[in-house]
Amino acid sequence: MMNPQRLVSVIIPVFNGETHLVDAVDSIRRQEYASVELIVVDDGSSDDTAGAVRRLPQDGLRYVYQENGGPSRARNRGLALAQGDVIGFLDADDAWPPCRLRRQLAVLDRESSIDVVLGQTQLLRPSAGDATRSRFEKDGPPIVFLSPNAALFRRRVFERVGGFDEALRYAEDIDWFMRARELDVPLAVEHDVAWLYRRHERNMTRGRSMRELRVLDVLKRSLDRRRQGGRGAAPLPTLSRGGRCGPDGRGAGDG
Amino acid sequence: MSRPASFRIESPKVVYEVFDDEVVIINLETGVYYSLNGLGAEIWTRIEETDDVVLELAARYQRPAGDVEAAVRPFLDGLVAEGLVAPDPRANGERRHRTSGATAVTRVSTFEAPVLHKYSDMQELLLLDPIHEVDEVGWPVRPNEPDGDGRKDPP
Repeated sequence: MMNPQRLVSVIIPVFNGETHLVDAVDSIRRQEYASVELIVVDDGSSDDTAGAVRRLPQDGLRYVYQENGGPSRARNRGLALAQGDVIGFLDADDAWPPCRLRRQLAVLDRESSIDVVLGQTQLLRPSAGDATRSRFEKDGPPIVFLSPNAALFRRRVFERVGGFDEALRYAEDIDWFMRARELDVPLAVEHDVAWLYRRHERNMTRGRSMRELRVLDVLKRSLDRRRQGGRGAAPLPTLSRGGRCGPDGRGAGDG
Repeated sequence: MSRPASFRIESPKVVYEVFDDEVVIINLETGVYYSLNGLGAEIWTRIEETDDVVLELAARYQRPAGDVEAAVRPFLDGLVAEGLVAPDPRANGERRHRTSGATAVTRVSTFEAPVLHKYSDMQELLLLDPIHEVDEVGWPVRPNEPDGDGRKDPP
C-alpha cells in the first residue's frame, strides 16, 4: 500500500518560462497526490516568470530566484531546499502525464531496494497547421531518455551520487545517470510514459548538436572514471526491468 | 574486395570526438559507443586522409607491410563490421575532406596492435533520436555565451 503522507518535492527549474510554466505546474497538481512540495527555481529569467508564479495558487509552492547559472545549478538549488524524501523534476515547458507520480511512487513503495524509477519519454512536436505553435502532438513512440524529468528519486541517492555537475550545460542529466550507474545505484526502468517532452522547432538543429558533442564528453568522463585504478573500463550494470506497475501498467494498489 | 585499403567514416550516423589520448565514437543507429587509444586512435584520426592504411603505417613505423597487415586488419574489419567506417576506394592521390575539424591524436611511439573497445551499456540510451536532432531544448543559453571550448558544428 502507498503511504499517503510521503512528501514529494518537485523541482521546476525555469529560465524565461512564463509561457509554459502554468501548464507544467498544472500537470503536477493534476497528479491527484496531495503531499507535494513545488519548488520553482528561477534561473535569472528576464521575462515575467516571477509574475506567472505569483498568479499560481500558492499552496505548497515555493519560489526562489538565482543569478543565471544553468540547469544543474538550478536543480541543485532545488535539491538543497527540498524537504521531501522523494524528489521529482520537471522542466518548465514540459509536463507529467496523469497518474505518473502515483505510479512511480508505488514502485518505490513496493521495491525498497530501488532508488530511482525512470519512465519513458514521449516526445511532442508542434501540431501541423497550428500557427500559434501552442498545440503539440506525439512525435514517435516513447523512448528511454536519461533525464531527471522522467524519473522519481529517493532523496538518499543524491547523497551517494551527488548533485548535477554545474560545470556542464549540456548532457548534465546523462552525466548524472552515468555516475549513478557507475556506483551501481539500483534503477528501475518503467514501460510507461513519465515525461511529455515538448520539442520546439526553434530548438532543433541539423547535423551534430551541442548536446551530441557533450554526450561524447560525458562518455569520456565516465570512461576515465571507470578506468581509475589502472584497469580497463568495466561495462555499466544492466538496467533493471522490474518497473512495470501492475498488469495494466498502472500503479498497483494506489487507487 | 576483401582487403580494402581506404575508408570513410559513416557520418552522420557515426559521431565522434578526439580527446588528447582517446577517440570516443557513438554509432547513433545502434546506441553502441566505442573507445580507441594509441594506434587505434591515430588510425581513426587519419583514416579519411589515407589512401592505404596498411602501407602508410608500414612506412611510418618502418615495419614489413605483412606484419602491419596482420596487426591492423582485424581492427579495420571491426570498424567496418560495427558500421563505423565503410570501404572507400579512391583514385591514387585523391583525398577526402575530413568530416570533422578534430585535431589528430599524437603519433604513438610504439607499434602495438590497435584495439576497438566496444560498450553496449548505453545501447537503448544513445539512439539517433532524440540526441541527434535536439539542441538546447528547454534551456536557452544566454545570448553571446561562448560555446565553451570553441568547437563548432560542421555543416
